[in-house]
Amino acid sequence: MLCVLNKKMTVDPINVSNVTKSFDGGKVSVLRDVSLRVVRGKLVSLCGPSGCGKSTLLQIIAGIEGADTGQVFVEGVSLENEAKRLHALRHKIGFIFQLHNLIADLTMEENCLIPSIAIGKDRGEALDRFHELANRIGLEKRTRHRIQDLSGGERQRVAICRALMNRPSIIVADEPTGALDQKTSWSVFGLLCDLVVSDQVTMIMATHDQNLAKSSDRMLSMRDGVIE
Amino acid sequence: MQFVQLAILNLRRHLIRTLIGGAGITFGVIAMLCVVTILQGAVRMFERILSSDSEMIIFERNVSDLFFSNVPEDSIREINQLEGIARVEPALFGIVSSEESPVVTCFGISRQSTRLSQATWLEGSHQQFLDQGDQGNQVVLGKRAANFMEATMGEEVVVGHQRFRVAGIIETKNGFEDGGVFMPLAVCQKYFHKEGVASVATVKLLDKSRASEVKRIIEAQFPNLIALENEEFSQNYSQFRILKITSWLVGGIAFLLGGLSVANTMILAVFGRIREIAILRVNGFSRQQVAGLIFGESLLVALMGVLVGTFLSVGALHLLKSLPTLQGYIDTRLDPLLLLAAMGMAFVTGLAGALYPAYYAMKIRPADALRFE
Repeated sequence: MLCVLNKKMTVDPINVSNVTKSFDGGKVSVLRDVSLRVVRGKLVSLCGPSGCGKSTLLQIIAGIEGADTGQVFVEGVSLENEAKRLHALRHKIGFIFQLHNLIADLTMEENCLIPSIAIGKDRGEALDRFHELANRIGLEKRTRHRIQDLSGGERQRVAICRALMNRPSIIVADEPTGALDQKTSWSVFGLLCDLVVSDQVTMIMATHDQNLAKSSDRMLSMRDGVIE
Repeated sequence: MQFVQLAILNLRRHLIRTLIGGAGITFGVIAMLCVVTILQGAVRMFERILSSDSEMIIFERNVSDLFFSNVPEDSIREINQLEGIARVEPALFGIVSSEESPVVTCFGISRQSTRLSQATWLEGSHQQFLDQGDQGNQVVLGKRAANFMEATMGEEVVVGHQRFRVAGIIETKNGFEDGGVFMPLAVCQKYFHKEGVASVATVKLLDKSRASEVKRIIEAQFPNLIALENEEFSQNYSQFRILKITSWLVGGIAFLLGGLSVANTMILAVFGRIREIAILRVNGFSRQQVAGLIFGESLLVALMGVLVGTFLSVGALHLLKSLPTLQGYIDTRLDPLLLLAAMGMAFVTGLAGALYPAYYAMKIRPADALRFE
């Protein structure tokens, strides 16, 4: 058991090796031979102009998208096929989008329970976890509110709550503060930093905000599909 | 369980769409249950008219409609003498119209017929009728016929082109008989220009187990006639077969329309929720789970259609039964097998309607859907 635990601790949670990705039948090359390692428990920022490939890289790391060539390892497991990508997405990774991607006419609770429905988790257990997270993000009084009735900052907090429902070891956040004002951005960023520390999760976050990027443990820059 | 709750939640969120889809199935269920029940009831009533306390029916070979069948009275008398036969009763069927009703069925029967002896006499009595002897122009009216002809015992009524005196009014358990006019066989034969023949002869056996043997003897001695046991007759009589096939076809077509309604609803449900499906996928739903959700929603719509459709069908049948003009003509007993068939068809329709939407939903690429939607 200890051996397994030690092995897990020594494996990098995210290991991207020589990944390429193109769209439109190879005409639009988005990622070119990208390699990246993220150490456990660290917050890594990924900066770069729009269209440089940040979102695509994050989606490939999360298993939402497959790479054309190269390999992605999440907690030491290669995301080589759809089944492994789905497993990673369900159990290892929580994804946070810039535009939260919540279902507007569902309540906060209903939105947050979606990941637990996907893995067939017991409803009682899922609700316990949800209320614990709702308390931590300060939205315990808004659980029965529809998303359309929440503010931008609150919606992004709900997205964070949903991403953490299945206790992932990695958070992948694609410009989580991109649609928020500066004050709310720092509040959401502060929440994410707290989670990284308290839950010992690893986080990779795409951002345009240089100030936020500088506050992370490591900052990476991307340009034209390459990490500089 | 949470999965089912999510499907219910999705249906509730798009209530109008759900109700339209459910209405398609509901109409399919109503059409099938009502049409098949009414036609099966009609067939059962015809069967009862034809069998009338007997085990076997004899009619002319190779006729498609019993109204055109001619069974000679001489043959009926000879059959009555055969071994194993308790009683043979002739019946001549004819249809006339009257001012009050476009269709009045006339039954030419013997005065001693069990149709009369087993009926409830509302006016007059069977004995009185027998005692009066053959007076040439007497008829016994069924209860409904007496109502629409506004006739009472002793009065004269016009049936077709002739006047008859009412010798009694009876009530049977059969709507068609209650709407009919019973004439002595000879009167009926003269009226319809069918002297010396009956449409059918019903046979009461001394021993039911000897039915096939008796049938063989009759068919050997009277090659122009065909003898069928009641059940055999119901299955083979072409008019019944046409009625049964028609009722199932109408029901089937109604379900097809219901299926198109479900398919349309589910296609709209998927096309209008592409982004939402992508959100489910990026939150861990597999392609199969997404398809399962679409099928689950469609089955719930079908279940709703079955429940509402069955409830409304029972109500509609009872309403039809209570209408004065249809009283006695509608048998509202809902066959459990028919109910099962309707439920089965509703669920198959629901699943078939969800096939393409589920396939489409499975093919949605979450990254593309979230990027472009």
